[in-house]
Amino acid sequence: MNKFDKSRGSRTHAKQASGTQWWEQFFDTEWKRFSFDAHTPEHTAKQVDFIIRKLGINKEDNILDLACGIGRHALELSRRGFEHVTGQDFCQEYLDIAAQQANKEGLNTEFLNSDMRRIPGYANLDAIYCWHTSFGYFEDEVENEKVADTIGAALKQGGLFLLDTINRDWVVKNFQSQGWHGEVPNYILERNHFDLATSTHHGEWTFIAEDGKNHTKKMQLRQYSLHELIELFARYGMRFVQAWGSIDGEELTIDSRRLIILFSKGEVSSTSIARELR
Amino acid sequence: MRNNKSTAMWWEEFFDDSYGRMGLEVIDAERTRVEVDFIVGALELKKREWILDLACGKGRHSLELARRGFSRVTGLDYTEDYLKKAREIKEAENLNVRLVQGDMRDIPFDAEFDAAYNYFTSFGFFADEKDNEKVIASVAKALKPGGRFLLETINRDQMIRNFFKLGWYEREGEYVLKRFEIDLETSTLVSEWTYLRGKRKTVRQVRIRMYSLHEMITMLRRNGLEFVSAWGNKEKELLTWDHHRMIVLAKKS
Repeated sequence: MNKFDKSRGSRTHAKQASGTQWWEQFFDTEWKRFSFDAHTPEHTAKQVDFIIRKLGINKEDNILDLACGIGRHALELSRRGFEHVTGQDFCQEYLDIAAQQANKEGLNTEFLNSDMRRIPGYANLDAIYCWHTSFGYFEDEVENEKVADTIGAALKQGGLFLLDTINRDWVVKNFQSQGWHGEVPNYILERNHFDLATSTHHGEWTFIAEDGKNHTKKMQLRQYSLHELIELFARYGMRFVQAWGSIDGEELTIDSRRLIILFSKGEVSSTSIARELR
Repeated sequence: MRNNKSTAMWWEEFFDDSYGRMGLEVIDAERTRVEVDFIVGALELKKREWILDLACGKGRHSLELARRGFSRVTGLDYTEDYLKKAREIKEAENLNVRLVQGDMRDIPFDAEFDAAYNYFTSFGFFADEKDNEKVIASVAKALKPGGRFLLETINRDQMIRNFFKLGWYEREGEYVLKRFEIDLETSTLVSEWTYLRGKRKTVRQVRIRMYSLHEMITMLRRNGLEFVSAWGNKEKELLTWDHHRMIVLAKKS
């Protein structure tokens, strides 16, 4: 298969994951409303500025947005003239929204429905990014490592991977067993537990919706400190390049809420990145 | 962030007279007795069992065990000067304890011990994580099948929650001034100890790889040691991220 197969056949591969994982239930229209829709276009644009700068990508590069959701960043890259952008996600509902938007704007963004542990047909990519806490979804750590393995296998030698996730150290300092956010009429009420033996945040979140239909969903996320990600990705041939605590390029500290980390597969090949790192 | 590129390891220089005085001798006999009560209880030690005190220092726990009639205790440490001190006490009190100089990455025993312990932050000394893992592999090798291992060290999560940069204390006119930083890329607590004794000033560096519980469990498991319990103190409270110490009990499969 061509690494950017234009046929949409792969979309039918859909959910090959077994059983019912929390994320199969969690990511729905409601979550979209709470999470994705809360990002203004300006915010997305700023994130995309950061992604472009740190990945040092060019218009003709092959780029994969891993766990793209409704394609906020992938679509924005296409808008800016990046010609070979694919957004991967397991959630067809989100991919449909993304594809509709692409059609509406006449963008050539590709979308792939797959499990993030398997991105069949993708190899030799210039860059991959995974934005907004989409790593660590699997209960069994071996499965999380498969994602790292998949990323390593899909990149070309010297290709770059940028991950934006939550900083475990920040969580350790600021964890709240109860919390709520939202505004009239939509709220999320959180009940949270952190399991030290597995470094996993278990949440039971009650969504209070406009129509009065409240319901509770479970989520769980394996959380990582910087050194753990460095060690984990090193096992799959990915070298640590740099870490930041925000898209403003601040240094990562234990008080940074976000952990943004750049890896290269072997030596960095991008000359612009190499220049920036020097 | 500083990297440990020097050839001499910090621990080859750190465990000197100054640390002996200000780090070890400040611990009174009563505290050692309470710690030994805990070790005996947590490991369910029996008098005739073969016991390893890994990184025994001046032997405060192994000597106390010997005093209590545990007759098959081995203390291993890297620092010959500390072992010399331990031997002096051993001779003076006529205690039955074996004191061995060695490197904890390569414990010179095979399926020898019923139980082993590593107490008072003597783990995570090596800049290369593979070397720290070698210590665990080496413990597993030194234990008999079913052997127990108790590890007492820094609780990384507590350190993150309550991190402070400066600290000091005084004992008999001598001062220790400490400055801390955390190297996040390697999860290393880097501390600089300044000893002030009259006009003399000595500066030493300590580099300890810190672990959160889940990392410790994973590493033990990789080396054939099954995780049994984690406590936050000698009162056996279950470990939380607010406990200063992390005490882990494991068992060789």
